Amino acid sequence: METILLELLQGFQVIFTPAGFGFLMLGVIAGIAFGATPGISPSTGVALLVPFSYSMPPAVAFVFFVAAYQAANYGGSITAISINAPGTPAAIVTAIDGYELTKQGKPGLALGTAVIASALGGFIGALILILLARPLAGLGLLFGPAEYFSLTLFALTTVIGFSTKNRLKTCTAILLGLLLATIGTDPFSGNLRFTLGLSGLYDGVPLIPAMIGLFALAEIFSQIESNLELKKISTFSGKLPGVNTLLKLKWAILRSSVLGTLIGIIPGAGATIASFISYGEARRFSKKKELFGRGSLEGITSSEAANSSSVGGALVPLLSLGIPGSATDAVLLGAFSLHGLTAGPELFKSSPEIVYGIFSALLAANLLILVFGLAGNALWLKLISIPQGLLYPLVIVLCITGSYTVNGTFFDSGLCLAFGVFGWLLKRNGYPLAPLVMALVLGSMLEMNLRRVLLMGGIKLLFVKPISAVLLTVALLAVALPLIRKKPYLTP
Amino acid sequence: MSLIIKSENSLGAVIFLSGLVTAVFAFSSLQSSTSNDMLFPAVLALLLTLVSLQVVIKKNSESYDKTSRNSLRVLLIACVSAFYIYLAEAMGYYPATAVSLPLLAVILGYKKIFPVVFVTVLWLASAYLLFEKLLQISLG
Amino acid sequence: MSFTKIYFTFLTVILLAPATLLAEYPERPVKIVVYTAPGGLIDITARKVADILKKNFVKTPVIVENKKGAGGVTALSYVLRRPADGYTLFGVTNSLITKITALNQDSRLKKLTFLAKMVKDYECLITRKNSGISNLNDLINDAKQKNGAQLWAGPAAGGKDHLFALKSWKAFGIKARWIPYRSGAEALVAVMGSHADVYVGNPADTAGRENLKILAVSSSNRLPTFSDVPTFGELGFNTLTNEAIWRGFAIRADAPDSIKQSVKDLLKKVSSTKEWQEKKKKNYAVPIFETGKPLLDCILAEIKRRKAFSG
Repeated sequence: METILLELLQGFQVIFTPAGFGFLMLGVIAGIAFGATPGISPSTGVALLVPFSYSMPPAVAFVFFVAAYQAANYGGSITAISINAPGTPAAIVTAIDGYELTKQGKPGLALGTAVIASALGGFIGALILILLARPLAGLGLLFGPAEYFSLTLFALTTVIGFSTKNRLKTCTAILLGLLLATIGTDPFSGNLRFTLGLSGLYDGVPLIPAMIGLFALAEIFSQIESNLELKKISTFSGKLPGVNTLLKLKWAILRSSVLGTLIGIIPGAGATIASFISYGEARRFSKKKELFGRGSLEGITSSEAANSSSVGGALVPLLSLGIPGSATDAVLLGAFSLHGLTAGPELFKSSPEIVYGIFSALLAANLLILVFGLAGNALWLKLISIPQGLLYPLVIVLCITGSYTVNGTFFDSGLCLAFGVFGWLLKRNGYPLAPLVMALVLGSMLEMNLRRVLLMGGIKLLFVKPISAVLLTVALLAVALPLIRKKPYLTP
Repeated sequence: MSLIIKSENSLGAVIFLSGLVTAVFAFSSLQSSTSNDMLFPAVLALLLTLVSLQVVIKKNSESYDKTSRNSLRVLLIACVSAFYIYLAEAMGYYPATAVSLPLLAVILGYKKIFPVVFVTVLWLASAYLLFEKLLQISLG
Repeated sequence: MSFTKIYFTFLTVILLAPATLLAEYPERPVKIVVYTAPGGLIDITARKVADILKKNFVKTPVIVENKKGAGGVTALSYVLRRPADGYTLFGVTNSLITKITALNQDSRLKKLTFLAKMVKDYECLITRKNSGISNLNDLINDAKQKNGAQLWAGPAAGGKDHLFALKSWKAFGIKARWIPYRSGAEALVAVMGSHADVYVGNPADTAGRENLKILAVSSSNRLPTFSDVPTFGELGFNTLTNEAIWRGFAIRADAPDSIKQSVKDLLKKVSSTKEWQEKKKKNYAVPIFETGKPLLDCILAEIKRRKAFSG
């Protein structure tokens, strides 16, 4: 324990140099910017920073990256809450409750809660990483196709509870999402499925444009249709959550942070799945279930705490085993290679200052996120208070631009618009969009892992392997119990 | 056109038909090819057809917003946005945005010139700084 | 304009023209396009080349541009849209060739001139140390015992690694199952976690991971850094020798020949620098320089091999 503290102190020395601290701050600001921009995911954002680091000393470079990585997961909540355009897939769930609060005239409450949850979640995730990296490293390896399938299925069950409308339409939405997820190159056969000759679909439906379209654009279209005249959001409170409110959220924060970290440790399950599962669990334990989906602070808290703590979790396999725990980790691996380093247990021995520099950067970054986030809220509130006639065109342009930046093609912008219209049509006919998006996000993980399981020994594997069996049981209970109790998830 | 939009089950019918077509396509692909890559889509499409059929059949008591002039406004906005994307590809992002952003605002009824121009210029400048300079993603 | 003026302007242009032709390449920034996100193998190689060029051989910037998507088609299309002035290079790997052939777009590859192959990583078979399989023979016996249920993990079917796996099954006389993952890294993790038995990869994949073991490598002679790893040739499987993933650079076929030659020369200079040689060796890769007909033949063979695969 003492060695950890000592090493940590050494690590802090890195960030207390002018260069170190400068890049820590720059990293946080860049991360918030990326995270908030719909179209730039945390992994893309960090990837964009890597070339700049070529001439930096490695320790400083990684402080820079890690700060950006942590901050990006917070950044997504900003646009998710203010304009219903999740900046990152992990903020989808935040958008669901966060934007509701904005519509109710309480954006400040949502934004403030998001910052605090993110910062605390990230901090707890960092602590778990620092103290338990070695013992927890092996956890990730326990997950194979069977376990991934069950985990994803479990995450999908949180979606079922979103049905404020009728169950059949929710089912339809989920099926549509799953079907859309099959579009693209099939890794098992090498064949293209449903791509209609469009090279933009070879890699599947680009997730971020689809998400932006289904959330932000569909919402804008709905609002244009239902408002007889467009006006400013007249009553608008920028009030932040008070201490009492925050204290009530402490269990949600703690639970979500631990859950998020654990899920982050699992390679291939990152911030997005962490936020879904955490949200579902928060609702299960909540005394105010009916608020979820209508502006629940617990909802925002669980989502944000989990997606931030998953960063610390994702760094566990990366640093202790050299295995990427998330998409951004893969970028970091490349960055290690670029700087002539090898991620893995060797790193602890050969370059401890880099590892402990990363640890201290993670802790410090969360503090900075809190500061910058709270300060920045005023700016966001100002921005979204501009008249809708001006705000909507701006958001439309933002969505189209952001979609373009994903792959550098306007095809994605067109796709975003198409999903926007599609989402609008669905919304006005009573089909819920959140399940569709979640099914789209989780669909390929579900299908691919099921097919792997079949190749590995058949369906029985799902029930024979312990972790998988447990997850499946919990998933089944999550869906079945409310039906048995004859109580709908959300009272109308 | 407005008839289609008004019918509350028309979307359900469209979904049902798409499901059906996809299912037929997927199952026939399954028969003809050696790999079973269409299995999952086939099953999903089949389920979709069944579920969406139920949705169409069941008469819902939920009332929907009636189609108003605003629905056409939405379609207009969507068309202008589509045109914007085409313009951006054809003549470059910046000129296209400079034209489309104000146009969209005008369609939505926002008539004050100065704020529109200001926001457009501000956006173009920020986009330039953020994307071209900082992130080195060229917007074309 | 008076006749004298026109005459002198004309003369100046005539006299200066040869000078512009003789001007050294590159006079403007050079772009190297890669089809992966930053951090991908070809991206790292391209950045290293750009770095060495800038430090030693050229005065203008050399920028690496990432155009990922559609299995490399996005990057290919982008390169073919750029002016044919020789200032856009394209980072290629045999994996890219395979992917583009899989998407039936290999005819577009004819619009490129492949300048040089610069790095090679030999294929090898990797498994866990504690898996009970300690050598290639054990692997083959295990496969026969499992009667086709042995699990080989790697990226998408039809890719380079899968094709190598199929070739090895034929050579070993076994049947096994290919479990595709989204990337090589994910597949390797599956093997590390005991969810699959074998991973088709390169020696570099074992760097920093103590519990991995290479069963055999595809080089003609044992690799210096892995002197206890037998080659396929040694073990009697000569058909599996000299299988490697390689990385190199291409340019638009209709770029000026003189510029193509200049680029080739610059790349040759890069590959002979100490920095390049050392960096490659550190990453367990083999620095090479292959151009011209052997390179072209190699590429045609890759295309042919992928086309023969029916999925």
